[in-house]
Amino acid sequence: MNYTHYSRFLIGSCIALILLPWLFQAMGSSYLISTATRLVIFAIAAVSLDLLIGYTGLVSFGHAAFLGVGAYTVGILSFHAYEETTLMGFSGTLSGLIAIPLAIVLSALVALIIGSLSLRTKGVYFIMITLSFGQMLFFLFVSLEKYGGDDGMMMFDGRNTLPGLNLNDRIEFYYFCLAWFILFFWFCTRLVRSKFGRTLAAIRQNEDRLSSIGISDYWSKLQIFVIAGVGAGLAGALSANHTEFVSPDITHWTRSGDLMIVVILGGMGTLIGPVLGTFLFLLLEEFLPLILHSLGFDLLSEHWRFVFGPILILIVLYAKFGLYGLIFGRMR
Amino acid sequence: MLHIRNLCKNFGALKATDDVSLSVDRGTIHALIGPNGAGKTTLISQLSGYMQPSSGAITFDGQDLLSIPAHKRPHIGLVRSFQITSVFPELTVLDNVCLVLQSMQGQARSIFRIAAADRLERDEAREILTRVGLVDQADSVTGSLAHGQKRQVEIAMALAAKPKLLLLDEPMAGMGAEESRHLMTLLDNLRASVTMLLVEHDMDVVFGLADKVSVLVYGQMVASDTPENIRNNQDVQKAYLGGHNLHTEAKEC
Amino acid sequence: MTQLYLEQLLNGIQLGMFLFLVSAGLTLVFGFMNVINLAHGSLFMIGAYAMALISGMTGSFLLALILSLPVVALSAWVIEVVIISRLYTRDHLDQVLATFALILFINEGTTILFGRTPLFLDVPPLLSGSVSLFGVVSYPLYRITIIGAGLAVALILWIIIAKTRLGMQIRAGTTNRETVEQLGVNITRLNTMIFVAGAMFAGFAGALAGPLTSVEVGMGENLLILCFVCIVIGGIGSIRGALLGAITIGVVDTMGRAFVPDILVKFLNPAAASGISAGLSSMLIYLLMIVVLVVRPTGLFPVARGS
Repeated sequence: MNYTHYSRFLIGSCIALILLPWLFQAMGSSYLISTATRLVIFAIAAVSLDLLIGYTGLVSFGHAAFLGVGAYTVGILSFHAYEETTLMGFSGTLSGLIAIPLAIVLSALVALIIGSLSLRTKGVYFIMITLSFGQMLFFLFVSLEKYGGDDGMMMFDGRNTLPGLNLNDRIEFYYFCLAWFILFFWFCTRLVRSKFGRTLAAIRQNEDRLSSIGISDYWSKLQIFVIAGVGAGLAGALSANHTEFVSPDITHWTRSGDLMIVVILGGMGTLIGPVLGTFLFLLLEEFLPLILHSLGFDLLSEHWRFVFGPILILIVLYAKFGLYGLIFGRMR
Repeated sequence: MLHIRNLCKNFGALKATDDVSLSVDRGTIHALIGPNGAGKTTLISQLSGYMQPSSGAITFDGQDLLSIPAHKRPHIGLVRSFQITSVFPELTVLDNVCLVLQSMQGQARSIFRIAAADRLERDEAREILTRVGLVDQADSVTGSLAHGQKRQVEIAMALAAKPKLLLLDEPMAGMGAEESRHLMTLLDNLRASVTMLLVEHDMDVVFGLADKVSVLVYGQMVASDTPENIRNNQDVQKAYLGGHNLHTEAKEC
Repeated sequence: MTQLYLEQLLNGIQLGMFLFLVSAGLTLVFGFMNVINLAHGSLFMIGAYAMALISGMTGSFLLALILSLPVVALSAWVIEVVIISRLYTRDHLDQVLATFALILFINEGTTILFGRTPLFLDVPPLLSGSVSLFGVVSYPLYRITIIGAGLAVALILWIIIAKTRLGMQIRAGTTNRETVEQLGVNITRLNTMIFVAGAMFAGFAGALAGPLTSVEVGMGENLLILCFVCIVIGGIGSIRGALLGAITIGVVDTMGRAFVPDILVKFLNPAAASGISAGLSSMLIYLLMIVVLVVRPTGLFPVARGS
């Protein structure tokens, strides 16, 4: 891999993301800022999942559970603030200084619990137990009838509040999310180059060998599982703010599947890959229907997944290096 | 230093380790020999914690070894190398050794230290690679090395753990003559500081290095004595070699 | 009260039979070819759609049941040859993703062809009505038929696997794949055969499910996740494990839905209880699976695997 090429791309993308709102306004299509906001939010979740799948070799099929924990933390606090009721003696709040850190702490806690049990299993059993935990959280949220049950709840008071920042302004909110994204991305860049990152690579390559050199694969995996859970929880909290709406849908198992797709599309085992994957996924979601429509396939434009499915199968079978591989040459 | 008492390991009806007792004295090189399938690797695996024995006791340095989980055993000075090469193929040779060093420093889960920035660690790893004669390959990806060189990485990783007792499971297997001789000298020089339990088929190595030799046949300890007495032991000759002379058999392997 | 328990128990066993029919193929495919097939639920759906459409056209339940099986078999054959066969040597991640993509394709395709409106199917006249069981409970004949059909399939499968040459090959392949390859068995054909057979069980279940549930897009996935729970609890690759897992899950799920609300009401106020119980009873089986895996990380009846 050409390192200068890579860092130039990184800086270029960063500048592009910062300039994006001006570009959209100049194009007269400022509604796209919302799509860009989704991009940076889900890129955080995708990067966090890649820490598990790509860097550690842990195929977690329940990552959307943490999106749910983050989103519901923000949503429930907002609900009680609006209703002026309390939850276990605590009143609700719209303050982002409380809601977002709390979302992070709770998703870490949930990841600690899920991880400590799931990581006792390996291989296909790990895939299935994480899927089951995801389902459990899904049904837990469905059962919260107070908070809308199946249908979810609106955040009637709008987004979280922060001193000196108006998150209800879509451009300011975009920059808020972008800042979190850059922070998380920077953190992950350091993480994968750290000594722990080297341990993760070792787990991926030869898990059974680890104990013989004095490293507990269990605790190492639990640590990365919690870190990844925090990433997804953060994304969930931002996503709830973005849509001002929280529903069990965000923890549906197909969401976990979508996140895995995004990681593969972009190229797993890289940090930029999942970001590119998210970009492509949202692009396809927004524009594949339009493209199909303009090509005269009206029927398919509504059912774009009918076209997307086979494309994805081809990518999995023949192009697993993903977009990252296309841009930077094959990895490793 | 290491005391094994009445150790048994059953796989169903098969007794892979059958009431084995063995003591390894500090500062010695103790060789463990026996025909294929005698249960040598199974015994090593129980010492390193990869397998739990069915019954029996092991003490190491006065501690009850069986109550210590596998990943903590290297930290108390009990380190093994593998018969089947088992390195981390996508990492460089240097990183393989650094991985062990960071583990010994208790930094395996440190997210705040950039791996490549630790000069002391890298220097130490280079020094170890120089000792095993592999420093030229420090920056090669381990998976791309020749088999004999991977074996040397294996030894370097074991040394990086600064063992008190080193369990060597056929360290010479797959090495060329030159590499074997180099390793033999290395082990010979280490004998002052490291106790070794050596599983080896090459009788030249065994009788060249060992202070004491134990013979394992079908999971049972047949004899445990000085190399000289083992060489002349009728029971060993019969059980292990079917009457052949140890030297000739060694050449055939 | 006994009557209610017995009825719910039978409902649970009947759900378990559906789960078993779908799980059997899933566990065979995983055990023998080491493939996780998320799209297995789609075959259940294809069976249900074929049944609903053919019986709508012909008006005959039996004819539709007989004709829907070849439809499922053909679909399964195409899926195996075109996609699944390329996944045998891939890792689980690739399998999960490719078959997930396959679900997107099949579901969207079905929507294009048949729309989003669910199809409904009547219980055939011959099997409608109820019979009295043990003199205490009157139970629908159709559901009893399903339990019977499930048991029959279990018996047939057991005979095939325990007594025939094919079964010997399957058992050998599940413990050690290389052995079978060395025996000179045409492994490609055997793979296809097992996949199609497994698909036909799922399709058969789908066809039978028509009169009990609405036939709609996505009906396979919810069942599929339940089936994964069954085979994971039972131990992947084991038919016996799948049967026991399926009945356990069927009974626990049904009983949970029936009785958790009653139990909760004793501890909570009615409004809170009704809210929580819906979710709690859905969570019950996942809770069960997690407990099983934490205690026995490879399920209750793990198949010994050679390396």
